[in-house]
Amino acid sequence: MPKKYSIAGSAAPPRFQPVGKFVIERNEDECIHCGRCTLVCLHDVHKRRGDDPRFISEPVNYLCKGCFRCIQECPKEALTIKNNEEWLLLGDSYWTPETFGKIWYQAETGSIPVSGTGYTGPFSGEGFDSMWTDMSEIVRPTRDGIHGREYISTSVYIGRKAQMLTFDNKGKIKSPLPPTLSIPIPLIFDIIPFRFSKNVYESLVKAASFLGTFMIIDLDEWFNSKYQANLVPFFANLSKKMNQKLMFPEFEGVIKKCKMVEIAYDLEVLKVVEEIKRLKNEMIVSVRIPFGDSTNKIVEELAFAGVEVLHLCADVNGKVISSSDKNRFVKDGILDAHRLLVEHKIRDEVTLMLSGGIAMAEHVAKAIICGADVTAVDLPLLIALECRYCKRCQNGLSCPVELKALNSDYGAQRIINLMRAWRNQLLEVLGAMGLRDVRRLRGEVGRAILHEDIRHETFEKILRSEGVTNNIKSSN
Amino acid sequence: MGVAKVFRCTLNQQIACSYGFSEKRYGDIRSMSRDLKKKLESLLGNDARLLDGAFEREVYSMDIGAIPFTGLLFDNIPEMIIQPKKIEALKTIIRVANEERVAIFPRGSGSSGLGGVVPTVGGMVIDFSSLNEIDELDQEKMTIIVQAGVRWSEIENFLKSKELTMRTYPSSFFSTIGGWIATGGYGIGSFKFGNIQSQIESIEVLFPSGEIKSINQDDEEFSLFFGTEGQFGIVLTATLKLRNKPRKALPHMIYFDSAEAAVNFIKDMIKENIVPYNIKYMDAAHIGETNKILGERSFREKDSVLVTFEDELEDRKFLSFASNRGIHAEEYLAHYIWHERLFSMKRKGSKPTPLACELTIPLENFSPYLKKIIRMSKRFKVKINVESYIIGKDEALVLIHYDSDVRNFRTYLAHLALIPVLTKIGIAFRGVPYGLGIWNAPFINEKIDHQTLRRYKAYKHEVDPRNILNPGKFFTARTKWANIPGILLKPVVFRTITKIAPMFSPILLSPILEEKSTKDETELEKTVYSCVKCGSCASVCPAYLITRDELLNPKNKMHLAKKLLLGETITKSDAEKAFLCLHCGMCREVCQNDLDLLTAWLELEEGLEHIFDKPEDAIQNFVSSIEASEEYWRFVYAQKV
Repeated sequence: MPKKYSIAGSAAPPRFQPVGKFVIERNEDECIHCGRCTLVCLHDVHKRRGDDPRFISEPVNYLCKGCFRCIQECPKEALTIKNNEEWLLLGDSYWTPETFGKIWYQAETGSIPVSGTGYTGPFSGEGFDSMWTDMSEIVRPTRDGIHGREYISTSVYIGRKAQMLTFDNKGKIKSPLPPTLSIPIPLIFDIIPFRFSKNVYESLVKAASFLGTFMIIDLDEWFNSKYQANLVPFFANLSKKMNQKLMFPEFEGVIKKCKMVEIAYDLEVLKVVEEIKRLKNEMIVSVRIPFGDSTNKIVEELAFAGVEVLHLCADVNGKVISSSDKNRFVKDGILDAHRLLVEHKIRDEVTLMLSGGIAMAEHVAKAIICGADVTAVDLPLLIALECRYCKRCQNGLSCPVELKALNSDYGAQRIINLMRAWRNQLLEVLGAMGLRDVRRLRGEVGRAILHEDIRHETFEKILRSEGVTNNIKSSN
Repeated sequence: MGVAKVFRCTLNQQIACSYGFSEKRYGDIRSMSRDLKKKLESLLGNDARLLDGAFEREVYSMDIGAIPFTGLLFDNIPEMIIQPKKIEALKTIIRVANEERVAIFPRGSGSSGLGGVVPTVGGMVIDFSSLNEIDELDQEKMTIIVQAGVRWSEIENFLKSKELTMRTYPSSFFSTIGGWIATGGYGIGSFKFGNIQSQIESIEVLFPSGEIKSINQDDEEFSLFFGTEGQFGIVLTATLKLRNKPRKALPHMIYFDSAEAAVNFIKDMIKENIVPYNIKYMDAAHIGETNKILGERSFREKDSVLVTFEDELEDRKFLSFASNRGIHAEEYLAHYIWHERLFSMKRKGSKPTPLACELTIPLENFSPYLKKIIRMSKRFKVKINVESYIIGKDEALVLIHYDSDVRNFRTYLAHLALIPVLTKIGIAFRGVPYGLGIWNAPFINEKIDHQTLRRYKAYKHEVDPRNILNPGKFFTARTKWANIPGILLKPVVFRTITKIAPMFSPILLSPILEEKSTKDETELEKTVYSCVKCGSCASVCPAYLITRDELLNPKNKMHLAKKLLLGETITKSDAEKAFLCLHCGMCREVCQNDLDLLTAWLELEEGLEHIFDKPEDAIQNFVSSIEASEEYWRFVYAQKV
C-alpha cells in the first residue's frame, strides 16, 4: 500500500502555564497529601511532586476539565474549584476563551480536542455558526476509520486550471498547461496581524515547509531563510511604486526566489500582474481583495483578466473591512463570489482563497463548502505559539509568554501539531460525508444547511402575509 | 555465695522471702534470648510482630517520664518487643515466658510517667497496639466489648454515629483502655460516674499460667485488677458500660479570689446535692497559661471552677445556687476551656520539658495543700500550675504541672526531685499518690492499706508465682547491681531523701547554670525537648498505622531526632525510616503539647540528609505501597467530615 500522507505530531508542552478555564485551589493547611486527587484525576491536574513524591504539587489548572471528581473525592475537602477570571477575560466575542483553550490543547498534543459526551450547544449563532454541515454518512463511516486503509485526500491546487486538454497524434498533451502549485492541506499561512520578532516568523516558515504549504509575508518583514521556497511575499502599493519608477532592486531578486506572490488590490493591479509575469512567467500571482461592497465586481473583473488566485480577505473576526452592512460575514462573501463565478462558467479557472475569522478546524470545512479552494489562517498560528491576544506588544509592553525568546523549532512543532489536529478533523468531516477528496467539498452547499435559507423557507409566507417581505432577503 | 546473693538475702529479704522466688530468676536472660526469639518466631508465625532492633528496644525502654538515670538503676532496655495481633498469640507468649521465666512488661500507650511500663530487668515488652479491635456493641444493653489496646479516642469515634457515649474517660484521650484500668482510672466524668471500675461490667484476664478468665463486676477478684498496674494478669478485653449521648454540654466557669473560696464553693454545691457531669478546678497560674497560649488576656487570671452539666434540670438548679457566688465567666470562654480538657499538656513556657505530679487528696485539705506546695515550689524556683478533677464528694485528683529543661541537667534533676517532695507533702495532707510504677513505689504503704497489701501479695503469689509480670516495681522498686542503688528507693531512705531535697535544691539550682537562651532554638530542638511522648500522634499517623513499623511512629521518631541533636550515632536504616512520612499533618492536629511537628519533621529530614542522602527509592516505594493499601484509604476516608 502506498504511504498515506499524514502529519506527525509530537508533544510540545507549553513554556508558560496556559490560562485555564478553572482554578483549583488546594488548602495547604487542610491537605494531608493522601494522594487521592492524583489517583482520581483523569487529566493529570494533580500529581505527586517529582522530586519528593510525599508531597502533592500545585494543581496544573489549565488541564482541568471541570469534572469535579477531585473536589468530591478529597477526604479533607481541601480542594476548591472556581471559574478563572483571567480565562473569562481572554480574547473577545469572536475569539472566545474556548477557542484559545482548544487551540492551545491542539498545539500541545496534536490531538483532536474532545470535551465530553454530548453536545450542549449552542445550535446556531453568528458567522460560521449560522450553517450546519451534513454528515449523514456517519452511519457508514470509512471501513476502518479515517486513519485506516481508505484514502482521503486533503490536497488542493493553487493556480489556473486548463479548461480542456488537446493532444497531438502521439497522444501527448498539446495545449499549454498553466502553472499550478499543489499543497497537501487546504491551508496556507496568512500575514499575521501583528509585527513580531524574526524567531516567530522562523517558526511559521519552518512549519510551512514541514507541511509543504506556504506562508504569506509582508515584504517589510521579508527575511532570508533556507525555507524561502515556502514564502509568499506580499506587496502593498506596488502599482504606485511602479508608476513612480521606484521599483527597488531587491524586488527582482525576491520575485526570482518565489513560486507565488501576493499583491494588494488597487485599480491598476492588472498592470502589476503583467509586470510580474514579464519578469517570471510561471509565477502564480494572488491578489488580496479586501472583503467589502464591491468584492463581487472585483472578483469578476480579475477572474476574466486571468488572475490566478483571488484572495478574499476579511478582518480578523471574519467581518467586512469596508461596507455599508457591517455585519456581513466572510462566508457570505465567498459564497457570493463562488456563485458569481459559477454563473459565468469560469469557476474552475481561478483559485478562491479566503482569510479572516478562521479560528477552528470546522471553519476550514465550512469555508470550503461556501466555495473557497484554500483558506488562509492567521491568528490561530500565533495562539498556537501561546499568544494570548492581549495586544500588549502593540503598546510596547512586555509579552506574557515572551515570544521573543521562543525557540523556532519548538514553535514550529506547536504549529505543526495544530495543523495536524485540524487536518484530522477535516478528515473526520470528509469521512462522515462519504467524500474522498477535499476538492469535492468545494462549493457543496448541498452538504450544508444555511440558517438564512431555512429562515427564509420557514417564515417567508407568514411574513409576506403580514406585509413585511422587504426585510426578508433570499439568499438565492 | 557471691556478693549479689548477700545483698539479695539481706536487703531484699522481705520480698525474696515473702514470694519465695528462686534466686537465679533473670540471670541468664541475655543468653537465652536468641533461642527464645527463634522459638517464639516459629510458635507465633504471623500472629505477632517481633521487634529487636537496637532503636526499637531503646524507645520501648521509657515512658513519658524519661527519667535520665533510669538506665543506671534498671535493665530498662527490653530484650525484645512483641506486638501480638491475636489473643491466641498472647497466650502462647505468656506460656513461653512463664516456662522460661522471662519478665513481661505489657504496654499500652506509655503515657504515664511513673515507669509502670518501663522494663526493669530486660525481658519482653508486650505492645498492645495491634490488639485494638472493638469486638461487640450491644445497643440494647448499652455495653461495648473492646480489646485492651483500644484507645479512648477510637471508642468515641466508633460511637459517634450511634447516639451513645462513654461514661468517663481520661484526659489523655489517646491512651488505651488497658492502661487506664491498670493505673486506676480517674478522669473526666468521674464525679458523676466514679472511676473506671464502676464503668466496667466484666473483664477478661490472661494469667501467667495461660488461663483466660472472665471476671464479672460482682466477683470478688474484680477489684484486684484496677489500679494494680498489671501485677496479677493481663487484661485482654473489657465490657464498658455506655450511656445515651447527652444532647449538649453546659459548661460554666466561675472565678474566685482564692483557692479556698473555690473549694468552699465546690463543697457547698455538693452539699446542695447538685450533680454535675464534671467538676474541674484550675488555679490562677493555669488560667494564665491558657491566656498565654491564646495570646490574649481573655480569662481573668484567678482561681476558677469549671462545672459541666448535661442535664438541663441540674443546670438550672446550679444556676440558682451559683448566681451570687464568684464571678461568672462568659459562656464562650467556659466552652473553650471545656473543649481544652483533652489538651492538658499544652504549654507555652520558655522551658520545654513538662513535669507533673499527680495525686488524690481529700477536698478539705485541698487549699492548705496548695498553699504549702506553692511555697515549696518557690524554693525549687519553679512556677507550678494546678488543675484538679473533683472525683468524689470529698476527693480531688490534683495534677500539678511545671516546666523544666532536660538539657540543664542539674536543674532538671532538682526539678525532678520536686515531684516526690510534692507527693510527700500531699501524703501529709492525707493524700494518696495516683499511681506507683517505679518512681512512686516507695509510697506503696501510703497508697495501699496494710490489709489490702497483704491480700495483693497473697494473690500475686497465687497467680504469678514466678513473678514474670512487671517485676521490680509497684510493690517495691528493685534495681540492678544487686539492688544496691535500690536502697535509695526504699521507703525509709526515700522519705529521708525527699525530706532533705529542698535543702539541696539551692545547690543544684546554682544561678550559673540558669537557662540558656532559647531564642535561636530550632523548631526541632523545641519539639524534641517539649514532646512528652504521649502517643496521641501514633494513633492518627497513617504511615505508622499502615506499616506498623515502630520506627515510623512519630513519638519514636522524636527519639531519633533527639539522638541526632545530641550527635549520637544513628544507623542508616533507622535514618531512612524517618523519611517515610506523608507530611499529612494529622499528628500536628492531635498534639497534646501543640507542637509544630510539620516543621520539626522537615528539620529532622534536613538534618539527616546532611549525614545520609535522601532515600529517594525508599520514599517512592513507601508512597506507592501506602497508596496501594486499602486500609490506608479506609483510614483516610475516616477523616472525612
